[in-house]
Amino acid sequence: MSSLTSRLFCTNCNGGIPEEEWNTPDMRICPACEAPFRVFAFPALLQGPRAIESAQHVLEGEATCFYHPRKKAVTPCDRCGRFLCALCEIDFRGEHWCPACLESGQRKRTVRTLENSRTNYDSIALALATLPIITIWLPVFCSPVAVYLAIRYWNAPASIVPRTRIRYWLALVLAGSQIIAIVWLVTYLIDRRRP
Amino acid sequence: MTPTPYRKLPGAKRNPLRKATLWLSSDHILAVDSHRFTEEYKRYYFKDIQAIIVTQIAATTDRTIDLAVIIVVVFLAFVAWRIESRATAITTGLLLLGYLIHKALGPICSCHLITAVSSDKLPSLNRVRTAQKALRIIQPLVEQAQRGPAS
Repeated sequence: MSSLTSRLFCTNCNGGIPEEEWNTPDMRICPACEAPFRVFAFPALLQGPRAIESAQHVLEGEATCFYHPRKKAVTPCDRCGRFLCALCEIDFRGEHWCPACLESGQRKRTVRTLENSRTNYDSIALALATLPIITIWLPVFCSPVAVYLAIRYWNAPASIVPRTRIRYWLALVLAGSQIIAIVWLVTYLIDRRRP
Repeated sequence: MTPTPYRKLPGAKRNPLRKATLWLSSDHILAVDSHRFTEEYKRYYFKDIQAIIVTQIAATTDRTIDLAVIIVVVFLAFVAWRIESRATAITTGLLLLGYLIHKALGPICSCHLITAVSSDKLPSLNRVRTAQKALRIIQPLVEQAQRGPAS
């Protein structure tokens, strides 16, 4: 058995998977739990951990890191231009970024690849336009909210993955119809009560 | 609408409140966990992926499930015949239909993506056939990103 045996484990029983069982063209049987498995191992598994360059102390006359005045600057931030030491330099999308720019990009949602969640206002609007129909009175409150959400967030960034505006359209049509129906019903009831 | 670089990978795990899917970009896989009104994203960059392990359900477990379903279906069919209940007969039929669809879709599996710091389950790849279809797309891209095929 190879020395790399313990690098990968059966996800069913946690038993080690020998290297001979990696990248096989068909399913193999785990000797411990008898579950068929297939391992797709990639070169990154065989490479050791990436070497992290340590930040060097600054000598007289050398540029220093903006965040660590005692460390030698190795590169400027491609966003803000601050000098960075090897510790502060972040390799992001092929550029050198400082931690502050990265954090700001995440907070302000200016960098799409840093976003880890989004709200689907179109789904909320559609739910508000459809689910309350099971009651008689809830659409009175929910349909105006659905119309508001559909208009307010029409141009807001939707899901990161492809998504059409069909939910907004449906929400507008359904909620609009409900509002018209409510107005008609109220008018009809008022007219009926008149002598 | 702004063009997006994401392309959907085969497979999705759905239930009334959640939906898990995988999307492919030029340099990473995006796992989308949708809770209907919000979406959570997790990115796996090609250069960071160490391995993907597909584990099929064990044959013994599969046989146990088959046996349990057959017992329930036979029992319900017997009850439906004895008490002449149309509702029970329909329930039995639907259960049998669901089971046949489940068998037709092929064996179920769990798929784990391993990186240096994590081992995450990919819920959308829950059938062997779907996992293989997705991995046929992913494997060359990861190998290309890591320069050279795995030994």
